[in-house]
Amino acid sequence: MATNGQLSSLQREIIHKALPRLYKFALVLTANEELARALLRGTVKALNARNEWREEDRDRLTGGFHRMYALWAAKTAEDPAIHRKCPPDPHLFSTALARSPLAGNSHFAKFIANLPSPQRGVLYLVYGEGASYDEAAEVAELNMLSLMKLLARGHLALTHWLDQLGLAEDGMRFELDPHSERERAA
Amino acid sequence: MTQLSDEFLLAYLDGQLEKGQTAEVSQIAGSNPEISRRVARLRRTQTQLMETLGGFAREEIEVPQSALQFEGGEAKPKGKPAVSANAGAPARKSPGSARFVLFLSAVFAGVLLGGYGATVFTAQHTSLPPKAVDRAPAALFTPASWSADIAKFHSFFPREMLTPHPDAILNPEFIRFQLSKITAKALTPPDFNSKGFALYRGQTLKYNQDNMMQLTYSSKTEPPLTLYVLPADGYADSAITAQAFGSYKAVSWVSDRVRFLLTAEKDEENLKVLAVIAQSQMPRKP
Repeated sequence: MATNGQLSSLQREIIHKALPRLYKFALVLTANEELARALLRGTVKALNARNEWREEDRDRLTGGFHRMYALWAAKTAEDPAIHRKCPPDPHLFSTALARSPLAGNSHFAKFIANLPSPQRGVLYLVYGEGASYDEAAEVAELNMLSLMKLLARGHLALTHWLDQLGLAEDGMRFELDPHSERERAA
Repeated sequence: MTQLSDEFLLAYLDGQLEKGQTAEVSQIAGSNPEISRRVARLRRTQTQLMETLGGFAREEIEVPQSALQFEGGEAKPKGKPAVSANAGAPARKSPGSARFVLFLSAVFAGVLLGGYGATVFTAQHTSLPPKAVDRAPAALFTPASWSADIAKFHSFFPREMLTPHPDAILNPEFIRFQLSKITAKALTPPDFNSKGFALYRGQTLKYNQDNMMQLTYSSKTEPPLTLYVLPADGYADSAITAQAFGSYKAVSWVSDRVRFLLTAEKDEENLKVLAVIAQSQMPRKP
């Protein structure tokens, strides 16, 4: 427990250990290095101010991710044009993509960087961090249905992107779920 | 069952379904070419996302040291961060604006005190009605049981509120998914079609610390029927019990760590018949 502005050793250790994962999540949310650094600073500051720390917080970062997600949501609500000032940078994701077997990596990095940040965030939590739907919903403060829709739309967008590049399996256009098609049209 | 949404198939691929549901979807995907093709498409995008985002998550990364500058509350931030922990809070005001706020406060306080003074001099002094100290506050209402509690809660729902709402889950597969999540069992909503009731809505509500599913069934000729389903950890199995709450009748039972409450503007015997139908459709205990 932190007392009189001093960090407990447990708190210090947890925050230090969590920094790389938190920074990556900040990069994923913002898709911009400068914004990610500021977001990480804000999150660390918020975590430093937190009083209750338990042993299980070492491995469970849901609370840290949640604070970061909430901070970013507040910032984008306050300044919706933030990405015009600090545009998404696809290069952030291109190193990881260089090892991916998918053709057209640079295009894919662009695709990832241009996804809406809440969608990129939950896709990363589920497929990058391996979070369960419950954990991802807790981080993003979404109900289960909204989370599932957000994830499915990410898959749909990727399918369209693969289609456009002619990378759909066997050159065939995938059939789309009629529900999703109706939602897109709406 | 073949009307499976992409969201549900994705939950299947991501390992978020209960065992029974997973086996069922696997079986359908094996026999239905359209579902099989959609599963293959989602599996491909899933693999793609896992490889790229998973690769990004595993990547060694250098954390900027500037992120640590607030630690311990000793160091002061250099420059204004773009995103601060109190993002959304109003910015600090300049001394000029502080003086203006002080002036406005003084004017406001003067008006307020002046108004109060006027009421002191002009108001007729009448005594206030005595306080009803013996009335039990609503917050102290203690329900006889969970079923009476939920039946009381249900009585606050006017009939028009049981009609479809934009936030409600209309897709039967989502309802099954959510029902299984809440009860931690592969449960399917009971089918009352033989009695003229069709499932049209499911929504998740909170009851104490538990999530609770409210399933609403509609009929062409009768008022809607509502089934509440919630976990029953610590409750022993119990037989169907009837109770009444206003014009509503309800029957409740506990089976295999799940609590059920069925309610409608119907007589007790009819509700018991429906409860028996629901019980007969529940998975048998191993």
